[in-house]
Amino acid sequence: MGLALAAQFKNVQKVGGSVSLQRTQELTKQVQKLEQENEALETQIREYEKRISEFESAAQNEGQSNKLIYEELERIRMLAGLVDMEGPGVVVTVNVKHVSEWGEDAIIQNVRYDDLLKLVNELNAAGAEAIAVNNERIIATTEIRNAGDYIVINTNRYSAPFEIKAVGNPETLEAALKLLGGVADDLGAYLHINIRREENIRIPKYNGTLQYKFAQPLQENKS
Amino acid sequence: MSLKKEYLVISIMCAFLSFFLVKTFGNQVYSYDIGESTSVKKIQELMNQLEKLENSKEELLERLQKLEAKISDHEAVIAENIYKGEEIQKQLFEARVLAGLTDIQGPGVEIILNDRKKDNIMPGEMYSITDFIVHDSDLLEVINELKAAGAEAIGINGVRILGNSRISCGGPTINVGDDQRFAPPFVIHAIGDPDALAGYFQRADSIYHILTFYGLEFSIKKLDNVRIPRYYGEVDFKYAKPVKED
Repeated sequence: MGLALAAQFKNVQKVGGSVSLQRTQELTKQVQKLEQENEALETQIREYEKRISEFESAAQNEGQSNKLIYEELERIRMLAGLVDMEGPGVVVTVNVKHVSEWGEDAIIQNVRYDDLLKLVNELNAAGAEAIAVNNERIIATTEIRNAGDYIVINTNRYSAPFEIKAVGNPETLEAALKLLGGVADDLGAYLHINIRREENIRIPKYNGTLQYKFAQPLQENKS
Repeated sequence: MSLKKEYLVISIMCAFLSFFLVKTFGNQVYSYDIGESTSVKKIQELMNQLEKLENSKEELLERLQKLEAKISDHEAVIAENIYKGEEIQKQLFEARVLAGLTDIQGPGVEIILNDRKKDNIMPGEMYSITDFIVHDSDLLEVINELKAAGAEAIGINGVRILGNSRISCGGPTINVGDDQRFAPPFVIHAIGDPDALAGYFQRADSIYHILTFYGLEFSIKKLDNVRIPRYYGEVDFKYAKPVKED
């Protein structure tokens, strides 16, 4: 009886304890996340304030003001993927695997769009700062989609082999792909995947046309 | 003699009982300690902290928007006196939209993606439960299809999707963008031609058919006006540098 009682009490207590512990951990994480977000916002506010004071002090000087606006345009274009970038990173080649079937050359499977989609997503998760697939820069609007035997990237058609270039921490990028049971492992079953680190990779800017027909600024521009 | 034996047995049993009782109560006091301080006080404390942070986030966003408006005023003034000033302003806007640095609005669609409801799963169904929940790869496909359909901007649960946004699995949640974790339902907003965006999911190879086949909720609503907030995180380049043209 003593044993049973003891066990019972203990169980009840444990459940209560771990639930509240879980809840506390969850809340702590949320607090940390919000703190980080607010910090990022504060940094951005300081940046904006600095830019405004630059605008104000340059107001009398036409050359200086013009320079400011061009600098700002260049900075944003860099963030948007409209500037060529270079740096260390990895180059991933993806090709079909050849096998001999009844003495004839055959492939296991063609490269599918979602193979590339997963690789790009994994590189992004590993902190890639700029990515291009067959020199098509991956930007916010880039699709990687099948169209018949081709794969369409930024509205242009491609087929295997594919070369994915990513700038970022080469070790992290490589490790993320080569993770046991990771993407490269999965795809390696039916595709030929090669990953190599490089000291300097050049990633071209987005070459398509930008045309916003539907998106409008939220605030009325008083201009 | 036999009486002594019984006493012995009873006293041993008593000893056991008291040992276990003491042990549990001891534990209980200990648990209560954690329980009380973490579950009630600590949680309350954290909730208060969250609320405060939530409030200050709103204030910060308001300030940011005011500053943004001020900057675009300055830019407009400069653009008036600049060669091809209007073109430069247009380029600034386009680059900001692409980089996710400005709140935008326009016509588009709202997609709601949710796990299948438990009560409409038939007992005889021969599928695994994982077929009935939204996976990171599903979300990735939906976003990719919206891009292919010509979406100009996309947001998931209020998080702006950029070129380097990842969508990955975080156990029961899905990580979107930098490090935002969400559980279903997922509310996806996209700005673009509403007919083209909604129509894309009617294509035979769309993920729509697979997910709805398994009974997941996948609703698409065309809207005259969709608002998508800017990206709030920091973007900085540690490894990538702009190529210097010589």
